[in-house]
Amino acid sequence: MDFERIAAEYQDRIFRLALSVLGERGAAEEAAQDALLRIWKGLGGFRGESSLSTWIFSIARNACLTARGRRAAWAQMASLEDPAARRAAECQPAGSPSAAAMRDAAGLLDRLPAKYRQVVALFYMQEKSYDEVAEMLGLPVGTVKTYLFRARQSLAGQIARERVRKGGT
Amino acid sequence: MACPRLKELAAGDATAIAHAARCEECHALLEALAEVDATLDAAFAGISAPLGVAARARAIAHRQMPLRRPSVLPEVLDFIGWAAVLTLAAVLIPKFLPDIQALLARLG
Repeated sequence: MDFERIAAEYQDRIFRLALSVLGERGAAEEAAQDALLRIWKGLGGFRGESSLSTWIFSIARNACLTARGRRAAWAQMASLEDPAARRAAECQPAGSPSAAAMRDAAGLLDRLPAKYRQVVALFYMQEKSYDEVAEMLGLPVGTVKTYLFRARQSLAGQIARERVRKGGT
Repeated sequence: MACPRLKELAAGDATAIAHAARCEECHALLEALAEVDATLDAAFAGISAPLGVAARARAIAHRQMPLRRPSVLPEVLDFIGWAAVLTLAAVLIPKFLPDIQALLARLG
């Protein structure tokens, strides 16, 4: 399979995976680009020992984790050197039509434990396909279902309780 | 949050959903679940990669590729050709040299 076809077929999913890991479009774009570069370089060595999609997503996950590690290191350095620079680096891009929706969603995801956030974000990006989310994250489908169930239950429970509290006061 | 059917409701169980119409607690959770779905759908559904991601990756790959060393085959073939010509000349010239000298003498 040639790179053009792989890029056409997988670039959206790689970008979504990166966005679910990194939580910010600019960083996700860079990570997706890095993942595609690694795929390009490694394509000649792909021997078909695993399926193509498994191979692609494992490369993409590694690229995302590298990017996350790099960002964490930079944020730490920036916080030591210049608190203002750190705030600027962490600032989310605004002005896109979905900026408000992204803020609302980020507010919801912040209420969840870290291990659930990525699964939840990716589930809604991937048209709610458990199988695809499981393959992209390299997790069993049962684990994805469990995480999603707990995450949705937790979020809905918090919202319902807040409503009851507001209604009661 | 004490209704025993809350868990079934979060799992999307149909009878629990019917029960939610009568139970205030479950009804609130069902509405909250819908709100969670709507918020996350609005933020994440239909997200696609920015244009040109693959093209940029390809361009970087091209820049990073080392220049390939040209093949030495043409030089080898050239060398073999000249060697053959010189060998042939070395064999034929001494053989026909007397005849050529005789011809030149007759013409001169």
